[in-house]
Amino acid sequence: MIQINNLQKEYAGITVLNIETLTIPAGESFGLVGNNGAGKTTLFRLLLDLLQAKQGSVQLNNIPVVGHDDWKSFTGSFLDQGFLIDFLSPEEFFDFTGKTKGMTRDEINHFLDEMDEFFNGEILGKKKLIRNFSMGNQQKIGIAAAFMGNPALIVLDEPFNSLDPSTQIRLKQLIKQKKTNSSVTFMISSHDLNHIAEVCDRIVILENGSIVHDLQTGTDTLASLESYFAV
Amino acid sequence: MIFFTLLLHQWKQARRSPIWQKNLAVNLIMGFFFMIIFLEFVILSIFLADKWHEITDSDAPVSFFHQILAWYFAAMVSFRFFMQKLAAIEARPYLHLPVRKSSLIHYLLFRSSINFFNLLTIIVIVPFSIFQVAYGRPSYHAIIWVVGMLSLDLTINFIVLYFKKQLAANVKVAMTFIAFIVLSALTEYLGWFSFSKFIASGFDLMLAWPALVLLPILVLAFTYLLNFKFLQKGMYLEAYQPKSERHALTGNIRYLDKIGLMGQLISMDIKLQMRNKRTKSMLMMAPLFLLYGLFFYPSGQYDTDGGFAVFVGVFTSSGIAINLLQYAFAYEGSFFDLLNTLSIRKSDLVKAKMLLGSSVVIVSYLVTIPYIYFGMDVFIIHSASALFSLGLIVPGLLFFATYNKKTMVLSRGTAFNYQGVGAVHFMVMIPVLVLPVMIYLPFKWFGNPMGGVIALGAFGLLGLILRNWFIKIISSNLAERKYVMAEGFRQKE
Repeated sequence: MIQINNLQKEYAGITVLNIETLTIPAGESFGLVGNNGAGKTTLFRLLLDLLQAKQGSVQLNNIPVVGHDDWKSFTGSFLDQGFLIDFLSPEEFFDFTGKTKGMTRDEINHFLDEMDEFFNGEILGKKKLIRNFSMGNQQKIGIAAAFMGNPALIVLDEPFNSLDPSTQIRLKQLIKQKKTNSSVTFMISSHDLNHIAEVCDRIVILENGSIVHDLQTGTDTLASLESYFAV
Repeated sequence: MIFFTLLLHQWKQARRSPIWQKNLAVNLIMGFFFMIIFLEFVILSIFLADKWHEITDSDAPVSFFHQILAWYFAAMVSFRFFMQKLAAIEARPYLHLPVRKSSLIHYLLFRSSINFFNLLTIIVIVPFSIFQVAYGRPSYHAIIWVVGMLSLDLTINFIVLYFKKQLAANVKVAMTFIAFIVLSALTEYLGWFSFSKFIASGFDLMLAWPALVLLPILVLAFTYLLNFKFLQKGMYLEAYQPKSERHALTGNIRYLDKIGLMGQLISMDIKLQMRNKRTKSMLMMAPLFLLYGLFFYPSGQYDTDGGFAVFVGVFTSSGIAINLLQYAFAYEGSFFDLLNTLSIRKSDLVKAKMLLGSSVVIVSYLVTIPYIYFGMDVFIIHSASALFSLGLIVPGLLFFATYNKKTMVLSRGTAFNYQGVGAVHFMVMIPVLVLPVMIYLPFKWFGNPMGGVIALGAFGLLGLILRNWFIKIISSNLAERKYVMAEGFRQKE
């Protein structure tokens, strides 16, 4: 699903990301952990063609992201506030996002029904603009939008941040459910080692822009992650 | 001294705000103009105060001035109602610190009394006290008079603050008060009851018995205390959360919903314009663009078939569109990443903006057809200019918009807001407004203005024919520049 080759990014002469090769097969949930400045967000942005790499390539389903638009139709993403249109109401925002993904009115309504539990009655029908929602609820709106249109790949940067405990649990359920039912590929980063160990099949630790560990999740994953980050 | 620390923080905040630093040149120029206007005010005030007894030709010039002051203060109350508010938000970062609440409140109230209105009052009052009140009276009378008037002014300051905090229906109260002023003006005009003489006689009394100055001072102290007590009771964090707006969510335009993605993009752009403070206040100024010709044509000093008419024609037809298109992508800076990851073709994005800009030009043109009143020449030139705007200016501006990589922060108002605006944007205006004039003028000079009109129209038509090619160029430019733009837009100011 994701094929990264010799990907490098520099800022002012300093290499912030350097990944020789990384292959993520379809249906895998891939977790990314690393301290601040490790290059997680840079990797996400390169993956979505929001940054220009110094060299190297990213391919999604064998489509190079640079110069192509086709990969966008099967990729859902939410990285940060820049993925929300804050002067729209949630309904209008989902409508807009859904239409760009080629969904019909009915499909959008069906999707929103499905998300009912995740929203927990706090999102729809509030007659509020997105900018007037709390951080946590804005996060919910952005994450939900990434799930629209049955994407084959969903990219989420620190999705558990500012979510309340119940929603964190619901998000984990949602991810697992999509993984088993529709074999969606996930790429998720988090600072919460518990969450990431729970939902991901494979976890990569990033440090100073390079991959330093590549673990298949097993019974002792959490322990080894914790020992790696222990100070 | 927490009081001075807070003032210092305020000063630092102003000095270090990115708006100030980034546009130092623009700010210095604006500051210079304000300085000049300020000085002119002061000089005017001194001049009027000096010559007041000659100008009014009244045997009681001070008493007459008191009447004027009565209206002045009445007007002040209504202005302040609209413009002034307690900057309580400034206290927010300090509320959880071990700073005494009362010092915070004193600071806030003090801050509120340093404002434009109070400065204006000082400019009006002080020269008059020197030249007129002190004339033939002991000078301490003049000082007492100034103290009295300033107390009154500050009282108004605090009363307005108090009521604005207390009452939800600000606008209603202000309207009632304005109605009261209008009514008193009417009764005064009809000679039934003179509001100003009534108030002025009170002011006169203060000159006759200077001890009466204690009255306004006491009232001032009372209103200050009132505010203080009120704030002391109600100063909690939640009171200063930015108010969440209640939006009557404007319904979708049905037609736009039907035409698929293009309609979605356009309706999003319309919502962007309608729901953000900055764009909204910009739109409010739109009539100014349309009425631009009225500044010139009625005087009859300008040829109605000269280059000037072309200028007005281009400006009236494309003025609103210029604002819309020049920042077309900068307006969307805060969610540019989203637009880049959704499957929206760049050409669709450009087409949507082109369509919106063109509609605005067409509507502007249709609305300004009544300029035909100033002659057929004007109408013909305006039509050719509108065609030129439609064909060339719209795509031209969109092309330049891809070079814009500063996000427009939409939540702030327009007045004196130069955030996201650079010198380049003023430069763009020059070719846009000058080029059509330069095309037209040579024809006019050689005695064939009609040829100029035809040339303008032909260029416009050519632009319309080449529209798809323009769209291709702009979208490939957008695709190429998207990294630079996205990088720039992410830099939050």
